[in-house]
Amino acid sequence: MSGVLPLALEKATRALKPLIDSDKEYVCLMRLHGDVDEREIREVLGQFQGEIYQRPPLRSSVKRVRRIRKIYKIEVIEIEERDVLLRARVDPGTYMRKLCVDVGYALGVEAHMEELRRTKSGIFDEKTSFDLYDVYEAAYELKKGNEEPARRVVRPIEEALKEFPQVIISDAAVDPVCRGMKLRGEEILMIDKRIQEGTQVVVATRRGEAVALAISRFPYGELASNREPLQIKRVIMDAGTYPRLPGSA
Amino acid sequence: MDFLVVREEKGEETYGEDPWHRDIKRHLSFGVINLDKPSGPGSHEVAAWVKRMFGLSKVGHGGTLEARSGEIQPCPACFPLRWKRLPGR
Repeated sequence: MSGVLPLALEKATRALKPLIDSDKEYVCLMRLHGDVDEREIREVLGQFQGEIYQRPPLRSSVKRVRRIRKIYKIEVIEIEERDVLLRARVDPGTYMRKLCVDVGYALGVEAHMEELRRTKSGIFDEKTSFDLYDVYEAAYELKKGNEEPARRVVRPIEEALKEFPQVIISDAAVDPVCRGMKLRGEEILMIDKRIQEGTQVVVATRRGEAVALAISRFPYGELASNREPLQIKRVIMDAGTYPRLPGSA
Repeated sequence: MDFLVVREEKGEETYGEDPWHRDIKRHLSFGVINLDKPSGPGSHEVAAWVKRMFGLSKVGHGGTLEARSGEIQPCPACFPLRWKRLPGR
C-alpha cells in the first residue's frame, strides 16, 4: 500500500481532523477469481457508483455498524484478463478491499484487492507530493544550516486548510479565541460568502494565520450580527501569539 | 473567493507572522508534509522516521495506508507514536 500520506508536524496535528475527514482517491488493482466479460465488469462497476453500504471489517478500530459510504466515481483504467485496474474517488472511511470483494460477488466470480495506491487525500495530491528521500534530504540540509529544502517540503498548515472558507477576525479577538473564549459577531472583519449553516470554516487573522477550526451556526450574512456566530471546534494557534489588546471595535 | 467585508481594522500595528515566512522552528512546528509513502513500511513507522529526522516532539498522519487490510484508520490518537501491531501481521 503506497501513496499520499499527509503528515502533520507538532502543533499542526491540531488541524488533522478535517484533513482526515476528506475524500480520497485511489488507484486499485482488483483481481477476479474467474473470467468475466469486459462489458459486464464495466457495467457492474458503474453500478457501484453512488451510495453503498459497508460494515467495517473485524480488524478495524471503528464501530462495526453498517454505514453508508459514497463512491463518487469509479473509472476503469485497464482490464487485462482477470486484472482490473481502476481509479475511484470515495468518501473517507471507505474500505477499498471490501469494495473489491463486493464487486467480485456481484460479478459472480469473487475477487480481491491485489494492490492499492492512494492518489489523493483531500487537497493532498500525489502530483505535488514528496517521497522519503526528499524528506530525508530536507532534514539533512537543515542540520547543515540550509533551510530551503525544508521550506519546500514542509508546507504551512494554512496551505492545507486553504480550501475551507475563512472567517477573518480582528487582532483583538485572536488571543481570547486561543484561550477558549467564544467569538462574538462584532469581532468579525470578513466572511467568505460560501459559508452556510453547518459549514466547516477556518478562523483566521488578517495575515492569514489559522487561529481555529469552527462550524458556522448561520449563513454568512447573519454571522456578524450574532452574539455567537461560530462553534469553535479546535484551536490551532497558541495563546500568546497575539497579545491581549483592549477591546475589539 | 468572494468575501463579505464587514468592517476594516483600524490601527497600524501588525502582530503575529506571515504563515509563509515563519522562522524555521515555527515553520516546522506548524508544518505539514504531503508524503508519498512507499509500500513496505507502515504509516506509523514512516511518521516515526520523520519525527526522528527532524527531531520533533510529535508527528501525526492523516489516515493509515496499511498493507494488511487496505482500510483507512483515522489516527489522531497516535501521539506520541505508538505502533499498533495488529494480530496476524
